[in-house]
Amino acid sequence: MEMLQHAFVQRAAAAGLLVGLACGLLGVVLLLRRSALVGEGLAHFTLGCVGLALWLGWAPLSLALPLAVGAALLMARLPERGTMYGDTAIGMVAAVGLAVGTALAARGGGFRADLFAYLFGDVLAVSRRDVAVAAVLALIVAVVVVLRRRRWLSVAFDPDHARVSGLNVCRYEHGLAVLTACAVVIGLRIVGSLLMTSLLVFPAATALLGARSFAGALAVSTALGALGVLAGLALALFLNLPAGPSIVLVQAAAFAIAWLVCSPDRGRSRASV
Amino acid sequence: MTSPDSAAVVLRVRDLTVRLGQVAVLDHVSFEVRRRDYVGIVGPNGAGKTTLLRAVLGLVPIECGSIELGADPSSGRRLRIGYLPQSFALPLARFPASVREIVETAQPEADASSSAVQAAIETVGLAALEHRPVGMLSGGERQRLLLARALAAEPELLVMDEPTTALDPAFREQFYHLLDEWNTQRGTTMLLVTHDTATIGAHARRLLYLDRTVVFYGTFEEFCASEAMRTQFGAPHQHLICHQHGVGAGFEAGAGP
Repeated sequence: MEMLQHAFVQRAAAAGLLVGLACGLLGVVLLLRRSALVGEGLAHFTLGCVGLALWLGWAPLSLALPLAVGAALLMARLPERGTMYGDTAIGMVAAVGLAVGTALAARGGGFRADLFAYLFGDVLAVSRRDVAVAAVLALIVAVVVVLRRRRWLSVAFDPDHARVSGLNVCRYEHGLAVLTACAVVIGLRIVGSLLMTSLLVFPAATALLGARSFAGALAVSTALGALGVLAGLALALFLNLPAGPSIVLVQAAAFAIAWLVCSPDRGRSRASV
Repeated sequence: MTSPDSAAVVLRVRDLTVRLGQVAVLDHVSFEVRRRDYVGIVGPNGAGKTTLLRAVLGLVPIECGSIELGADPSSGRRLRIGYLPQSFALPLARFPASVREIVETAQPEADASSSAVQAAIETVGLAALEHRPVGMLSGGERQRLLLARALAAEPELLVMDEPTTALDPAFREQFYHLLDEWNTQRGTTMLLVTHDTATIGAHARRLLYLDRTVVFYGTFEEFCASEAMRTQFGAPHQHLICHQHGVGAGFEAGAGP
């Protein structure tokens, strides 16, 4: 409990909780849209942006955020022209981001250690500003996803019907990409680029195993996202482990337990009732 | 100045051509559908029936021609369209949505009223399953779900693509009566693609025979009187459709029994 007195722990817990909430909500929509890899691609791309910002001597988030939003829109728009599949665009954008980050790291300089902090996460680096930005993000995601959940469900379940009903499906896809980019940039501080996808994928995948409604899936995924980050941080503090991997391991354990409880055989027996 | 006749047109397709690669799936298709009309669209496999519906709904790009969907002449607002696809493949076997939640997506921008949603669920006989996850529905129940979603939009134009394929015979009959009721009592315009030519004759008022282009479009009386259609369709098939509609094949137009 003594650890909780430290300001850096409080900041990490607050930012982690808020990012976990946002990722839990976004993850459900991403997984249902079969866009789980968007987070992975953006995380890799953003690492390059951070490398570029550090090389230029700028604040990493101030450059990474707009560039990641641009990359997210590019990933969403390239497949719209029918010239490639969505995962092709993700792979290309992620590769370019990683190449930039690696090339700049190879050029040397004192920022290489800073770049590694974004690669694997560093809770010590979470500032008050990061907490404030995470709070704004969580609020925006909660408002956009929860209040418009019927529209998100329509887009995820049957995009053709959504279009016929007058919904601008592209606008929702672009909005999802932008919000995901913001979540990735902010989450980078806590779990790092390599593990960022877990915040988007594990809580949602766990919730989808047992959910019987869309509202239920959003609620469970949000709770798992927030609790998973807090439990992971606690594990890291008490066992003196790095925070990012601890969070991922806690979330993976939660998924494994849910998978055992909601195994496909049990699902089939329920369906036959 | 809009004449009363042209104001009644809900859908006007002019010279529509749609290509998939080098193949013209639809080739200079033209027809009009008026308010309260009930049009059955028939034709062989690969005739472009589904593509025509998807083009009308704006879901496939058109190469040339035009499609006009009429708005409410009094307010100029967009037509409310109900869309009933052939079937749906769940994006995920355990898709996390209940029957009620899916029906509520009928008009996602406007948020369908809860009374319309409830009425639609009860109409298709899914009231007992309204909280069941959609992944646990049978094929026929899924088709009813799509129908409920289409009806919950309280559509002025109902576009249906072979909607009866997964339905059991009892509900199929109920389904056609339901369409008749919506068409006659609520004035809903119907556009129905089907291979069920024997049944469509008893319900639709116009027949559109499509084979990449419009081979025939008119009333059943005109269809039954047409020698060209007898050659095109085959006498037994034409006779079956006309018998269902209560018109003997070979009768003059408008000379039903």
